[in-house]
Amino acid sequence: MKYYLICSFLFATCFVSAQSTLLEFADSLLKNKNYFEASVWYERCIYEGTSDKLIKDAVSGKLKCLKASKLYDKALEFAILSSTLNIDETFKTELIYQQILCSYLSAKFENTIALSNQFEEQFTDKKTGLKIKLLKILSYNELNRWNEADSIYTQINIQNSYSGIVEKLYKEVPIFKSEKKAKTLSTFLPGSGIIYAGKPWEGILNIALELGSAGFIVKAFINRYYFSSWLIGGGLATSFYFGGERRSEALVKKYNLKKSITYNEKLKAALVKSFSIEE
Amino acid sequence: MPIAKKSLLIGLCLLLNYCTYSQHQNFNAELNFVNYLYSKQMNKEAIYVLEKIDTTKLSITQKDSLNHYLGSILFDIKELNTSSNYLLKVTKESTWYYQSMFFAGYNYSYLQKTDSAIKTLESIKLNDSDSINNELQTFELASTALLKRNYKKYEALKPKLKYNCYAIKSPELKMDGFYNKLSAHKFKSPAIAGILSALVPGAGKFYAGKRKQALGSFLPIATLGVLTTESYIRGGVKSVGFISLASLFSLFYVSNVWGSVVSVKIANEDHNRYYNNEILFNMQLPIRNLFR
Repeated sequence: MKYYLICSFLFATCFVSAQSTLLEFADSLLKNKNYFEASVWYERCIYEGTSDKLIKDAVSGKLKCLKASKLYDKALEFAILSSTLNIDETFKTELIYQQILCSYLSAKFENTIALSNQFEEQFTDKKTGLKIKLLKILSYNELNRWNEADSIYTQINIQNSYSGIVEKLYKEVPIFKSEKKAKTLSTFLPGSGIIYAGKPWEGILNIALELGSAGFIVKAFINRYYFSSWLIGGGLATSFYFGGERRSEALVKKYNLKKSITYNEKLKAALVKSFSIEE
Repeated sequence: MPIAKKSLLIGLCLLLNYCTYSQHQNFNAELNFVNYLYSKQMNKEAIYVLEKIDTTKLSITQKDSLNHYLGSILFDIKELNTSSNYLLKVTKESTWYYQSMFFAGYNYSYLQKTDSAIKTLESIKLNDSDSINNELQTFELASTALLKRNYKKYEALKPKLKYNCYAIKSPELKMDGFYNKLSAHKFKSPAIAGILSALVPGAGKFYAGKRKQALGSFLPIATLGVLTTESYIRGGVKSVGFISLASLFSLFYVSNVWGSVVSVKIANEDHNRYYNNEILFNMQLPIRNLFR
């Protein structure tokens, strides 16, 4: 009886150690930055996994591979699918955090906010809770919803060397120019919309071209070039007029985007430092 | 327990240990894992696993399965050339033989390698009693002939089609329809388009079937013509206005003639491409219906 028990024990440990060898091999591939190969071996561990720990380690490993390869959409999809596996609640909570993180990294900011709102109560651990809040604030910033981001930051009540910088930045939200105003200005005074958009020399050039076209119409008409005055002069004047309107709108859009990106970069840097000190 | 029995039991455990580890090298286990990856649409991962298998230790049946799997998955991700290379390695004795050969032939047709497609399809060894595969082979050869626009070969193969197999009948009837339309179609001539555009700007594009483009060609040339005439009347031949407008008019005029010639060529190519896509789609249908 004793020997039968020994044999069964040996068989079981050999079988388990074979599974662990798979995981170790996958880990070594990950360490050597062979992300695709490592993800295949982690998937193998999930497919053959006999223990919860093995599956959890494999899922975590594969997520690392996908994030390292910057395949954030695939990582998000994988995290969602993995949460349906038969695993413990603690790991499911960790997967939810990964979903929120991958959602942010793949620029799905609305989704990040929705997931954070839905699941933030589940995160009892302070560190993870802070990370979720940070991702939510950063997502609001990217969507230019700074008031909402500010109110969440104020609620957390972080007091460190960077919190002052963050509060100051939230008080200095950028003022954007209006595309509608630029178009209206260009309608009544060609070139003025472009000057309003922040390109004075381009605006002056537009005015000069409009005046030139108008001058050509008059001169050609006086010299009895009737078709040329209306077709060439009129055509040029119309092109510069409507082109100027569209250009002013495009310039304002570009100006606003640049301002938003610069502001968000400063805010992101300050927020990340503020939260990392707090953790 | 006697020492011999103890030794036997311990030996069995060690052997089981080896078998347990070597299960990962087991071919069927690899295929099961590949099926799992394929079901999750992880095709590149499935190909990676298949390519890692050591083929030196496989039997012929296993190699056939491996080549078939690789060919099929590569077909799904549209790497048709590599897919054909694997599919053609499947041996005649394999149960995957017919499927692999027909798919390989289709791949070559899709890649416009019609001669290789015909060679592959003709090389399929069939029994006379295998009516379905014979019908499919004839159909695929006839369709490939139609792709090449070899109407005589299509007419020679058409009487051999029986139109009695459920999976092939509808594509056969459609192929006959394509043959009727293609053989009756008269392609437009680029030379005629050029001459028409030279006489009336835009007329060549109208002939090519591009009505709006014809108007788009005519209007600027007509406008430039009017402006050039006015410049000539007011300023004479040597005036700056006349010279610049006449140059612009000539440029647009020559572009219009060239554009009409190109339009007709594009219209002819579009017509061919439309029918080629329809032929290829109908070639694939019976193969999928019969084998997948």
